[in-house]
Amino acid sequence: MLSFLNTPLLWGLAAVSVPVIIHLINLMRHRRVRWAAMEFLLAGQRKHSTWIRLKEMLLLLLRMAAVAAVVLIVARPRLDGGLGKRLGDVNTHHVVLLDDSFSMSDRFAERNVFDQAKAAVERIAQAALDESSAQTFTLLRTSQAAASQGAAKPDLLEETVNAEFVFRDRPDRKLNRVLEPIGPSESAAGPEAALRSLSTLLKSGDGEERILYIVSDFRARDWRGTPELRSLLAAQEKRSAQIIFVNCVETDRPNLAVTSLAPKSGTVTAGVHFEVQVEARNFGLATAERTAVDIRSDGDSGGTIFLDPIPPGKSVVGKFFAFFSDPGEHKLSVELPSDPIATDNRRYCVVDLPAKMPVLVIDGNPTSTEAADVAWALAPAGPVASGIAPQVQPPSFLIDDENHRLADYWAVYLANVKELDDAAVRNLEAYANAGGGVCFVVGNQTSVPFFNDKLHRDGAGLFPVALDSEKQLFRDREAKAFDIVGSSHPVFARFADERNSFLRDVAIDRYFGVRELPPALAADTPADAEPAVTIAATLRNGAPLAVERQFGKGRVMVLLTVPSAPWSDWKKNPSFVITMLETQSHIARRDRQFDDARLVGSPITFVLDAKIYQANINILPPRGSETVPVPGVVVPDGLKFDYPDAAQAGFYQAELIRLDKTAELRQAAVNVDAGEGDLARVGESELRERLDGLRFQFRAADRVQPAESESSSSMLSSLILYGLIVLLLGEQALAYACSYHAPRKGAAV
Amino acid sequence: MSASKRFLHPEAIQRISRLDLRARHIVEGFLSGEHRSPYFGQSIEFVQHREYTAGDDLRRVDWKVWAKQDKYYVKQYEEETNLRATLVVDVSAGMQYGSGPLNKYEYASTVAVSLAYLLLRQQDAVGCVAFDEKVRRTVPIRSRINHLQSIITALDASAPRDKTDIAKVLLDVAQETPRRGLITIISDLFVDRPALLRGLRLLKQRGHDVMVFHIMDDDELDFNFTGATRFEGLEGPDSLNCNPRALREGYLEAMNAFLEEVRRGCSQNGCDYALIRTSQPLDAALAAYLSSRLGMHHRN
Repeated sequence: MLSFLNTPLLWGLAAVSVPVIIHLINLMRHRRVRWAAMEFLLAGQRKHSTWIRLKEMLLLLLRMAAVAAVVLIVARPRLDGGLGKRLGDVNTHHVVLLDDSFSMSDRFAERNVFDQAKAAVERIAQAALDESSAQTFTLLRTSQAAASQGAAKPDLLEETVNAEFVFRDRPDRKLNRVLEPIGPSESAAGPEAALRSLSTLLKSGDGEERILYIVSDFRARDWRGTPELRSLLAAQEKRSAQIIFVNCVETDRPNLAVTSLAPKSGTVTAGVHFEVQVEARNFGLATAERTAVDIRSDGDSGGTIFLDPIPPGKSVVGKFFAFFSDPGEHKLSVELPSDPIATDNRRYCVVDLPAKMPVLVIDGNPTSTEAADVAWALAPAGPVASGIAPQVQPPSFLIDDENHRLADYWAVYLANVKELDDAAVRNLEAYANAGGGVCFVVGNQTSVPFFNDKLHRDGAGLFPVALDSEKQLFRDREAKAFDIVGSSHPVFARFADERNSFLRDVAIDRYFGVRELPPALAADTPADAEPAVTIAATLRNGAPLAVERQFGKGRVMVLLTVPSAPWSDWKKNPSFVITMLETQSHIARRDRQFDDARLVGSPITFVLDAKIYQANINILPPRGSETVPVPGVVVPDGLKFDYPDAAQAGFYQAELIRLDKTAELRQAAVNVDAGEGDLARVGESELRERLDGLRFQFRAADRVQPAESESSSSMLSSLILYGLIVLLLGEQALAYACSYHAPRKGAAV
Repeated sequence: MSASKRFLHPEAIQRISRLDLRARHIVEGFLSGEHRSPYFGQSIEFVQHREYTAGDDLRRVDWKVWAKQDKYYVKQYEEETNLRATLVVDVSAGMQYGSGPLNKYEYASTVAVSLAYLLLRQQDAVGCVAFDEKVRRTVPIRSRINHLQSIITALDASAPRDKTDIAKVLLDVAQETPRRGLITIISDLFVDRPALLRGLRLLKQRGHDVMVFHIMDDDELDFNFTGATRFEGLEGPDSLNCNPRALREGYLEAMNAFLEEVRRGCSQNGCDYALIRTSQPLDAALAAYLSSRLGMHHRN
């Protein structure tokens, strides 16, 4: 079945009549000549008239056929079906995967990489337009493929390439209208999702020749060590005539990214200055000196800090203190100075501050003061609030987890506890395992067999060490050493850089010995090295004073002395308060992170109590002016709200409506995947090595034309073209034969 | 334009006036003139001595020879006579065709008048016959210089008609010209060829020196027409619509065959033949022809 790409041009076939019209006009315009030698004229005509007439008719037909052939070539014919395929006249399908991850926003001078990529896409379409066979075009952005979870929404799907689709520099064509509003996304999506979605998105592709273009910046992060990518590309290779990688980046550029922003775990409550850590990574090749970090808290400027020099490829953590007087959710964000990629210079964090941080203090001996001492040290009276609300309870409190919900407490202190119920031990271990912090202060009540058998269990239990017995630290008045020897452990690190530490004045008389010291554990071993037992502080004689271990996600700390007489005079020393507050910071629940790890493209989920809230919430995206209603879905826990398309980094504000029609606002921070800021690229040779055996072309963005392949050009048009050449040659020959030409040696007479 | 101005071109006349038109054969003149006569007579051109025989004019005896040899010899001189020329000019409708400044008729008349002037100037006698389908005008042979005007008037014909029977015309001419002389036919010869050749043969048999000036237009010889053209016959009702470029080959074939036939016919009958294009300058054409004829004459 013959069809034409430019059907309207077939009206041009009317031009076939032009030679006939010219002939008729010539007949009408003939000259009249009064002629004497009619005799010879008639003789000549009689002799040749039939042959002349035949030749003239043939010449006319040839000219008409030549005009028709030109019109047909311009109208771009194609043969559908088997014959067309045999002639190689198949549809060429240009499938363009456009990488719009935010690394494509790499900017130099006035253009960014994404502009280059868009120009490359236009060039691809333009080259397709210049082809004589039928061409279709599909454009899919990687962020669209990744966000839509398999149901990728291409910007263009199997569009026919014609002059309406793209035409030179005309900006009003369809492709330009589609490309114009597109910018680099804040997604970090690599090509995998887009490649995966191609199989569902595109038809079987029989009878078409597919050329797959991947227009990208080919960052090492996406293309290194990706067996899945290799297999996806191999699958495409089977169905595509060509795979063309279009590289839009020529040079490596330096880039700094904020990789993390979170309050340091510890006492993070309203009314307390809490420490916030910001981590920046240098993806460049030179050390970044004195990087300024602008801080904003709740939308207002929170000052600027300067980071230590960041070596290439390394991260540096900076610290600052934040303070919010009101409990509730607060917004914290930081921003680095402008660099080639601006998207990863910002990091957002929402901190949900409680008014107080409840901690549980288990009083093992109501007749002594240990529990009271601990509780006092955690919340000392005075003008500066610690933000901690200690609650003193007997050991039996731990048994009933159902009602007392240990998980609500940020830490559990066990002061001079003798023994615990088995259920209490289970609950306590579950609590620590889930991330809760436990601190033991041993004392005269402490039952060594119970601790060793039930709590330590040769290292399997909660308690870090096996206890020996109560020991005496003999006073040595001559000795110059101080009773407590601190270390770089976070709890005691604060004393290390003080010239006249209060810690030096503490006198320890008694302590619990440790049956066996953990083997060769240095104090500066990383605290979270599992199953490390760390000695945080020792005594003058080398015996451990404070040990710590990781238990599950939680931390367990043990003080091997009692802060009050007759064990020591520690509680009279201010260093006890500091030690306890630092301990609290160190062991406080770590599962309640202020999560900044929600990434662009992942959904924002709220699970709410259906008894309190209505089944609809509104979400206001960052930089958005209109809220997006999100309906809830009933799940066992209540109502679940999924905001699926967090396409931008920033603060999302959810408006929850209670059943009593009052509103409540909640914030959620969404950040970019900072790893995308790694601008290291893979070159062609490395790609060939990694995608071993895959046939592909690697082109710069300004040279994207596909390789000429015999089958991609239209055989039918070529056939007509050759036919036209033959026709024109025949026409010339016949025209020569139809007119008289004098012999070379001059005219007849 | 008066007839004399029409056919007498002073420049042409001036250029050819230095030439002579000589009879190729011996012609019988009626005056003493430039042409050789079959008779010996009073002349300055010595030919030979001959022994005296009875009856010879004693005035011709060469006494100087008698004095030396004691024999009577008679001196013989070549008698010279004048030429009687008849110009046979075609004034039919077909001669009206012309692509240049002169059509064939005008060119032929000019040739005739120029020749007449030349002959009259050298004391020869000239007559003229203008013909188309038959002899239309006849001017008797005279040698007076003012006879030229009669010739010019005769040639200025009106209402030309077709040529039909050239043999009859030439027979008429032969009968009108009993004495041997020079007969010059000036025509495009678009006539029946056998009749033409018959006529030429007749003239030759009567002892005339026959010259044929074949006047043709460039278009007729080259047929350089382009574009659709309708040819309408000057001498008949025929007409033809055609593409001349396509027809050219056939036409030229027929034309060349015609020219060849005429040339061969003239040569077989001992007639001088000259094909003259109307685009050729008249004087040059005549001069070339007369010079070559002079050359031939001297060879005789």
